Amino acid sequence: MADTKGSSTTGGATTEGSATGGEVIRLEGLTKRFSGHGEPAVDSLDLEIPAGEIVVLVGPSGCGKTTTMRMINRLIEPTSGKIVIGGEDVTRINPDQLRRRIGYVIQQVGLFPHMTIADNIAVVPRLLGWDKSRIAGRVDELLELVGLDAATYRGRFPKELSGGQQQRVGVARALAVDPPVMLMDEPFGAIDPITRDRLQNEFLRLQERIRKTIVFVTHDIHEAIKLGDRIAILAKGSRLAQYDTPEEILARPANDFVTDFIGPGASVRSLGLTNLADIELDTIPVVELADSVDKAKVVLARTKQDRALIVDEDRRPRGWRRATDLAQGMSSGGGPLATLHRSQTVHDALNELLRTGDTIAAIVDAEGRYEGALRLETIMGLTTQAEAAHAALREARPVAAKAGDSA
Amino acid sequence: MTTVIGASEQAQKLDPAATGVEGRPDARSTAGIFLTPTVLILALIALYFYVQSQTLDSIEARFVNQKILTTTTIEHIQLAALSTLLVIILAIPLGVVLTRPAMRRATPFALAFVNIGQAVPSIGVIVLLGLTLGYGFRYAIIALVLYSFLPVLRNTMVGLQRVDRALIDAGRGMGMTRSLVLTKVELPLAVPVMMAGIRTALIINVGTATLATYTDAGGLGDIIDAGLTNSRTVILITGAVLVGVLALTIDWLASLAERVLRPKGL
Repeated sequence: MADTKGSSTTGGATTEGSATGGEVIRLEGLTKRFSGHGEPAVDSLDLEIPAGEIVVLVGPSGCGKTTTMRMINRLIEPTSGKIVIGGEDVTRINPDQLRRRIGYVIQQVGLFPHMTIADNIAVVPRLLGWDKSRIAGRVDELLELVGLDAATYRGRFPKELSGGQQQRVGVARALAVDPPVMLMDEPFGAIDPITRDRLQNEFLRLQERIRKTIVFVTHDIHEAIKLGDRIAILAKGSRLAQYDTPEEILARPANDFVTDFIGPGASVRSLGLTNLADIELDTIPVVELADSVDKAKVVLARTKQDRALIVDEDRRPRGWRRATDLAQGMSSGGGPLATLHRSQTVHDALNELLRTGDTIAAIVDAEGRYEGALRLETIMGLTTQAEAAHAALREARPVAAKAGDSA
Repeated sequence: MTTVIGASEQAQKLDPAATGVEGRPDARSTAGIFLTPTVLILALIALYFYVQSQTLDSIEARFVNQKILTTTTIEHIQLAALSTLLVIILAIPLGVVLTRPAMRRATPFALAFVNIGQAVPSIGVIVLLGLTLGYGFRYAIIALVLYSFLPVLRNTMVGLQRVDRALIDAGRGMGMTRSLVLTKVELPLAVPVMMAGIRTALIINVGTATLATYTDAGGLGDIIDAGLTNSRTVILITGAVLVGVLALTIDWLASLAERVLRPKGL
């Protein structure tokens, strides 16, 4: 471990600061016909995946999205068509060699249970014949990259980790030799919703740094909207129903299939694209933890509100001081408090409010200091606006744009 | 016993937990490890004092003496060890081959064939082979191999089939070759189930080797047979206790091997 520094400059050079660590993937007329099936599973798909972007393949089950992804690293051999990665036609090269250059993350994680975390991550580096010290350095670097303490976790076995931690290791393992391209097959599909949300956020932050070309398969349109730089909505036979940015797809679905697939809640979902930092927050009365009951009463009376947010000396939200409690002489603030970070979305705020059963959420900055509030009514207003805009767009849109050519 | 099994049902039908091949407790406490040898040593001491307390006639003395008992015990161990070793060498590769995707169709036939060996009573296998091939140590070994082939083959197959497909997919997806996935992932993960099969084969062979005396192949069966034919309880008890102690000792050693060879992290 003495030369960690040396190995990181050779092993992980591109994880630090390169603009894009990715390569363009081009699929040309890609077709897969399974013997015994009439219809091809993937029917002459053309798709260009730009370098350094996350492209989400999404569609109903059986549409061929996983088959499409598995053809890129040729776990499924295409019947016809071409796969070009970074300008190189990889359709005929040795598939094992090809796969060592492509990160692969699957829903079941697939960590080898009889190997330690370090050995799991080291699989591909060993295949490529890296020396021991370089591998050790890279393992530690990757664990830190995915937010796990290397000293604590490198010697553990997979079963000693939680599902979320295992998938982080899964991602670290896929990144081991710093491949330009990553394939991810519903990587967060088997993880509980709260952890999933956190992993998705971490994944986006990680991608900010590593800028890989990522092909991400999911059946969950929410996940597609949240993670994708572009979304490819696939119909049966992997036919491209629409290929565009999430904003465009939500605002201008290309056809009825897309409209049906993104569902009636598109306007609510567009809230998931709006950051709390980008909207005007509500103002609510605030009292300090040290303030007396009388002072709280005065504040409430002056603002004609039924409660005030309590903040501590660092202006961190602590609870509510309600008029009803004060009337009964109680000074403690009760009830759950919906607190959200400014980088979270309006959709997150709505979720949090529904979860806590409250109508006002406190919004904090990076240090956890109170910045403003968001009322449920305000969110409803945003939804109505989005709905109206959405409807207007659909009215205005000519009937022309039919399947698949919006990209 | 088992009849021809459809390929799709194998994993279920062959489930060692269901057939009782696997489920020995390996989570024994450290104190438990020493329990078996203690009991076995006590049994041997009891046998010694029992034999000492008897006045042996000439027939009894011919069999119950150190030289003959040592010879037959060594023969017995050789029969059991060699046959089990051969089974391991033959059955594990066959199990590996039969679980490869290209060979799936041959699996039921191979299993049906191997089942014949085990379906026939052990004495039948040994005597039939003795009659057809010939008497002696070598043919007894062949009979034992046939008889204990199934547990090792079956457990090798089950152990490999039970490996999570996602692990194989992950391995292949990372660029491991088929043979690397087999040696680095599938076989290590199948070891606990395979070991259970080998242990079963060992026990079967220690027990069945007793019958090898009828084809003139030696072993502790000689002593038991002598006790029976001459109606001498001392000889019979000596032979029976020695076979029992030997079987349990080998089982104990196998359980230690299971512990050591089981991959960490499972």
